[in-house]
Amino acid sequence: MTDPMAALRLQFIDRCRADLQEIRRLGERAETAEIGAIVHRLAGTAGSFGFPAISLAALEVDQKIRDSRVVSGTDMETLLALLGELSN
Amino acid sequence: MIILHVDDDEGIRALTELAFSLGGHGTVRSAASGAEAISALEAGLRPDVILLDVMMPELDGPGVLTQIRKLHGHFETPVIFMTAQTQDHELSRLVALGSIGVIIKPFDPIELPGHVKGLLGDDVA
Repeated sequence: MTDPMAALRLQFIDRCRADLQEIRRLGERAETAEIGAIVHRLAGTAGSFGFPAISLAALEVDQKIRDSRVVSGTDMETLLALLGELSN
Repeated sequence: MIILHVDDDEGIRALTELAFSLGGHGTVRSAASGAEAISALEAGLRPDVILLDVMMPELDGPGVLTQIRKLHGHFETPVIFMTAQTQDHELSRLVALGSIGVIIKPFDPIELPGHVKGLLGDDVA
């Protein structure tokens, strides 16, 4: 039986590939607000498409941004690594 | 059950439509923005419930709710906020604004219809 969610999940993976590239591009220009918007979207969506680890990693970064706490390189690298795994 | 779902994320709109259609739980009318949702209501759409994303560009969820309450016939239309924010004070604030509840994102699409019906209680079949 065909998984009715499969097509939507593939679209989500495609979008993650684009998000990964966009976050890296924005990071080079320190565009933190735009990065924050992408991270917030990932926090709220990835788990619904079957990728809870990405949501959790994104939520960790999102909460720190909202609370004006320091987002460590490790936090961001964890998220980027998960996006990278999904994109391969 | 007719659901008006307001979310600026295309993937989440598609997923929500699928979640309700799979089990015959209801018909979802999707709106990509608060303005689009308000236009649909002004045009006569009468949803049993409105699922409203909190963080959206231009007009956010609470702002949309304020506009909806001003529309004739929608002072008591049930509204459920959807948000990735999980702090208690934020959830309490969203309920205090006049919603019947909050669904945390990311949501499980299989459980979403039941969750919505649970919040509606006896208000809808």
